[in-house]
Parts: sequence; structure tokens; C-alpha cells
Amino acid sequence: MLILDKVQKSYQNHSVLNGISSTFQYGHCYLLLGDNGAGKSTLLKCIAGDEKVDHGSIRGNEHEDVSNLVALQYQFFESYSFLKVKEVIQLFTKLIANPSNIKDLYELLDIAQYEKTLIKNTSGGQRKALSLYLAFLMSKPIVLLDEPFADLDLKKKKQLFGFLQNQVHLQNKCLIIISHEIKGLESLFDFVYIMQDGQFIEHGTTEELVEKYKNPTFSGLEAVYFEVTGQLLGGRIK
Amino acid sequence: MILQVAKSFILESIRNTGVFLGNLLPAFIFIICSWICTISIKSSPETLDFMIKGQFFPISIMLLVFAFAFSSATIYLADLKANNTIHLLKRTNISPAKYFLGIGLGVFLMMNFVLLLLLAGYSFIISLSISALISIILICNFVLLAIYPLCFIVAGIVKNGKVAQSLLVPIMLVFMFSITMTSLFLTINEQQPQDYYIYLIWNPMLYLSDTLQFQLNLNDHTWLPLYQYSIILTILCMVLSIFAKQIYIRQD
Repeated sequence: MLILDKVQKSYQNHSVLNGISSTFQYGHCYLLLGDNGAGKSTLLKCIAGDEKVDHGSIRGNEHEDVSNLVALQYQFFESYSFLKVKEVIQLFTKLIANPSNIKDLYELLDIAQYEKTLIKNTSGGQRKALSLYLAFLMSKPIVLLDEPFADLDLKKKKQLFGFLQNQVHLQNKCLIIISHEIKGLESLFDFVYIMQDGQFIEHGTTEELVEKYKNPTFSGLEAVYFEVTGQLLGGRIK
Repeated sequence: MILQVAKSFILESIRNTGVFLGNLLPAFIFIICSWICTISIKSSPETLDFMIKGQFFPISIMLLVFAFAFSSATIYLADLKANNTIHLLKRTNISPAKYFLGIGLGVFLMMNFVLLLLLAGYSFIISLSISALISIILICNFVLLAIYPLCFIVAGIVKNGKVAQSLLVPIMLVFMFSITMTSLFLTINEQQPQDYYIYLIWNPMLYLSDTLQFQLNLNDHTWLPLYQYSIILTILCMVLSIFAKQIYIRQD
């Protein structure tokens, strides 16, 4: 279990997280929605321990250090520019005590096709795929994903959807996902949190929110997001 | 784990052709200068010998040690910090000390390989005994030991590799010219440079330069015995390592 208690974070007097509190359980998948600058990525970095919180606490069961339980997939992977993709995977496989056996994700992300390419010569999508692979390689019970579906075609999105479902239900992991590309993937998410100005302005189970917010133009979570924020997912409405 | 980190560091360093050649060139350019001088200056072999042993050779060695033990590792570490790799590594099972030991092993192997090539090149131009070669290699490695933790201090306080790179030039000037210029001007004034070495004890290059001058028969003796140089450099390494660790913890 991951417990956030009144988490606050500021950068140079600009408040990014304003007293966020919530509980995230293993065996569930959580979707974080919000406009750019709402604080989603900062929240994930705070949970992962990349950023220290100014006030409040982030803890696991019995006050254990959460950062040891978390794997974070960064939106941009810029490490090891002069290593090949395969070499980066080999390096991390050696550095992790019990790396996960995730051959299916390797195939799903088509890593074999570009495994001999230097990181500096890979595309943004390929780097993101590598980052996603490394996040699951680490065998952590809490996995934080930042836009994992971006740059994937429809078929790959569906395959990744299946993989993530397995991770939640068979591996009992807690997934917290930031994504604007959720059309057709709603059933993956057990709970949805909507962020604005560093706060959760709405949250609940996917079914509850879809039932609560209806819209004649949009359906599913797109309708929920529009009704709660007055904005389109991934873009502001004028 | 340590070997894998060393292997990755070496691969990245060699494949980054521009930076790798940039590290090699300053050291090897003085071999070319020495060859050209050997061919051109036939009339005064003593002057030629003094030029190569007193200037080209020590500067080559110092530039090589500086480039491999300090510059490339500092830029590499600063970039690791800037692109979140340090955060990524924290989630693996390797400790920071082991990871930095791995990079250190990579630096050690690369520096020694290039050092051997450089010494082999100079051995065609000047006479270098086996004992002199061994002493030079040893002192270079003790200087590497002392300088390596400094990489973490510089990399820890700068934002990224580019900022680190801009800082390296003044640091190099301070390290190198505080020794070479002092020695040069004091010699011109017919004073003994070793009388003033007490003011330069903070500079690891002092021990390298003094050992080189002794091994090349430019000085009758070193300022302090060689074993004391190795002790001083080891102490310097430990002091700088404590600072480096503090900077790492502060940023964690």
C-alpha cells in the first residue's frame, strides 16, 4: 500500500503540489489525468524519491521507504547515449538482483528490431519503449508510468494493455499511469484521479465517474475529464 | 557488477569519438612536436633533450592524466546526473560506491592503456629506462587516485556536462601552470623550484611533475621521497572522497 499524506512541493515559491493525500493499493491500476503543469509528473517523481517533498509524507505499509519499492518510467530516456539498446538492457540486467523475466514485453515493444542501435540514434518512441522495459525489469511492486501509450500504434497499444493488465492482476502490482491516450483502454484503470493546480479535484472508480459525469459529445473518461475540468484531454478548450 | 559498469564506461568513452580524440590529441600532439624538433634541431642535442624532457614529455603526461582521470570522468558523471541516470541507478541493486568504483576501473584501464602507448612513443625519441617507466606509471596512477574523487565534487556542483566542460579549462590551467610556470620562472631566475614546492602541496600534479623530472635526470633528487608522494596522494584521495560523498549525500 502506498500512502500520500498532505504532500506539498514547491519550486522557487511556485507551488506544484498542494497537500495531496491518497492511498494506492497493490493489485490496482490508477490513472492520473490533468492538464500540462497540473503536477502529475512531479507527483510521480516525489513518489519515486527523485524529488524530496517539502511537507507531508509518502510512505508504504508500516512506514517503509517507498522509493525502494518503486520503478519509474521517465517520459524521456536520455541516458547512455553511446551504448546500444541491447547493452543498456544487459547493464541493467546485471545491476538488478532479481530482474523480471519479461520476454513478452521485449517482443511487444519490438526491441529486437533496434537492439543494435546506439541510444543516441533511436527515436523518441524507441527510447520510451526502452524506458518502459527497464521499469518492469526492476521487479518493483509499484510501477509509475508516464505516457506509456504515446508513440504506439493501435495494435501495440492493445498488446501493452494486456501486458499491464497481467502485471496488475497476476503480479499484484500497483500501477500509477499518466496518460492522455485512454480511448478504448478505460477498462485497464480501476481508479481515476484528476489533478488541477497541484491537487486532486476529483477521484473515484472508473465506473463511478463514468456514471456520474455524462456528456452528449464525449463518452467514457473523456466525458468525465471534460465535465470536471471544462477541457479536452490533452488540450485546452477555448 | 563493477566490471559491467567499467565495460559500459569504456564503450561509451571510445564511441564518443570527438571527445575521445579530444582527450588523446593534447597528449599526443607533443610527441609529434618532439619528432619534428628531433628532425629539425641537429646542431644542439642538449637543448633538444632539455626541450623534450623538460617541456614536451611532462606536459604530455600531465595532459593525458588530466584528460583521462579528470575531464572525461567529470563530464560523464555530470551528464549522468543531468539526464536522471543517477535516479535510475538508485532503483537498481548496485550501491553508488560500487558504481563509481566501476567507472574508476574504466578510467584506470583506459588511462593506463593510453599511457603505455604514449610512453612507447616517447621511448623512440628519448631514453627511458625500465625503472623510470615503472616509476612514471606508478606516480600517474597515484595522481589518478587523488584526482578521481575530485570528478564527483565538480560533477556534483554543476548542472550538466556542458557546464562541467566550461569549468575544466580554468581548473586545468590552475593544476598545470601552477607547476610548470613556477618551475620555469624560478629556473630562469636561477632559483631552485623545489624550495617553493611547499606552497603547491595541494596540487597532485606537483608530485607527478617532480617525479618526472627526477626520472628524466633533470633533477638529482625528488623534493620528498617517492613513497611519501604516494602517501600524500592517498591521503588527498581520502580527504577528497569524504567531500565527494558529502556532496552526493546532500544531493540525494
